[in-house]
Amino acid sequence: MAIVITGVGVKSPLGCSFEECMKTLEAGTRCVSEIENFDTTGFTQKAAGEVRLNGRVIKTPKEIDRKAYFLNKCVQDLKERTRATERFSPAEIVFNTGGGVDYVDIDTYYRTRQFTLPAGSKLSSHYKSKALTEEIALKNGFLGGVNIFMASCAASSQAIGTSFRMVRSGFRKAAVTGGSDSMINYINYIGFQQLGAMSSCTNAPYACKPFDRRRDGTVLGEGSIVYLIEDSNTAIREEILAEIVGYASTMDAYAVTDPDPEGRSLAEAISMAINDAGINPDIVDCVHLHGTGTPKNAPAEYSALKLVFGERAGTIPVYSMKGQIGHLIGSCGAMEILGAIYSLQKQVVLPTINFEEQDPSAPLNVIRNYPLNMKIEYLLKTNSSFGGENTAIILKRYNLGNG
Amino acid sequence: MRVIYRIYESSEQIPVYDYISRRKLVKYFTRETMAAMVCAGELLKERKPLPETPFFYSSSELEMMEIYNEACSAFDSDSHNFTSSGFMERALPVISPLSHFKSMRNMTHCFISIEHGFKGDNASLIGSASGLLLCAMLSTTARNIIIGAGKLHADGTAEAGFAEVTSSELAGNKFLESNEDAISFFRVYHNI
Repeated sequence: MAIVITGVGVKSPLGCSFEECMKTLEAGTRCVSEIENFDTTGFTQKAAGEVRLNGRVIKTPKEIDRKAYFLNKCVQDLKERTRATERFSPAEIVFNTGGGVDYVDIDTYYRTRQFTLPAGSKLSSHYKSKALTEEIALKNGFLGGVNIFMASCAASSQAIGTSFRMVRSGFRKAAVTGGSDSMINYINYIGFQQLGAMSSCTNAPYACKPFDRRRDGTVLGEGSIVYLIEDSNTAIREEILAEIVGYASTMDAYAVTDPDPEGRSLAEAISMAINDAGINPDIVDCVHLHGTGTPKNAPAEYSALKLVFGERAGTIPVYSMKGQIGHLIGSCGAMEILGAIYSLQKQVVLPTINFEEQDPSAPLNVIRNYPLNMKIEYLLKTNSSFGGENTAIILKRYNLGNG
Repeated sequence: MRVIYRIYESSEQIPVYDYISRRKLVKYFTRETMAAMVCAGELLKERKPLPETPFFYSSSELEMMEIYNEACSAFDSDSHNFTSSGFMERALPVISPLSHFKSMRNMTHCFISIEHGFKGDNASLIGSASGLLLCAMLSTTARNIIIGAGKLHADGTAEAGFAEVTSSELAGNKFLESNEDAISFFRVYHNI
């Protein structure tokens, strides 16, 4: 028995289908530009990775909560692709998703001063995103539980990791899991800027520079992505995208705003995930790091890798997707699993977009300019949150001959 | 299984300063965080849990309307329509950065982890009682697990609950199949 990923529904800066995202990853197209979905007159920073279809930003009316809107679309796509609700009973499917800060249309709120539940909602939550997520689950027949994981930048990887545990233990037959977030709106975009995490670079496509010596902050992105996770015994084998073999989460308990510079808890999460997978660090082929582009992130990640991999920390190939699409916060981990699937299927480590100059304080083997072709059997994916939660997921290439 | 539960009416002071060592952090707290800090403090009174102790926390409603009220108050003095440039010039200066902390749903989980030194397996969620209990049950540890939940009602009432549990204690619990808010578990079990 293996726990496998068998389908994807995605609306992201890379594109709005699995195939489109794979092509955009391969092409290395920069998907960050100045915000198009709302008026940013007066903003000092305008860079963001917005959801695109065929390269064009999808615009929505201001009343729309984009994270709920795109999540709904993703779930519909996933259901069609995987026929999950035909193969599993409603109670066998749990819906675990990473989410983010709530959205209120400030223009309308200013005029009406009313905080209303979504139209037609029969649910009682004042947290709109929770009400909308529960409605998506009900509407689509996922009655095995609804959980929104809220660990900021580690939210969706906690959702996926917990889904992995639920299916592996037999508590649920299948999990629809991933994440959805958009902070690209007045309050949340400016709030992120006020927290001091955003790059001051005004050349939007080049603003987020993970691991680069010149990095000065991250860039917000948005998007939704959901996967179907199930036991390989129930899966349609030709549709298996990758295997999940290990997961762990730890907490820095260091500071709310900064990572532990020594990366101790992140290292612990990595070690626990490797142990959960029943492997040893020597056979992890490459690492897809959190890689935000903030000054404190890269040294902390390097420190963590040194604790786990020793001298290999400077040679094991690493990658971050955020240079290409920005930081999707509550959905970044789930989105970046797509990069992991790309690496496992194509047997390459992609170059980190906008990485040019190595930082002596984080001398990682960041792939630049061209993809690195290599044998990849086991891949480590990490994420770390604003607040201190760390996650590590071990993915394995799935060979049809596996069993 | 030991369970602590507290509820505070909207006008009621929450005695959070009796339960926190870093008092300057309190300005970042919502009333839910304060109530949760009290419950965690009561549960762990005069004890230092092992750093690897797993800790799972589930939140409920939200206090972020403070931000919108702050932003909109800047427009109250006249009848200006909402504009982007107006937002930047007038609303931004009156929005407190503290409000952004309060709107992030993992902050209660983080502040309690910092206060009590929890570094182990964890999750921060808005979920059902079932989700919280399943997270705890599936944790890869045989040791004691800390679970907590809180809810901030729209009228300012804050409630929270904390418990120290083991996987075996949770096995077969009726809340494993419950879609009610996670706080429901603590409302029931603190009386048992």
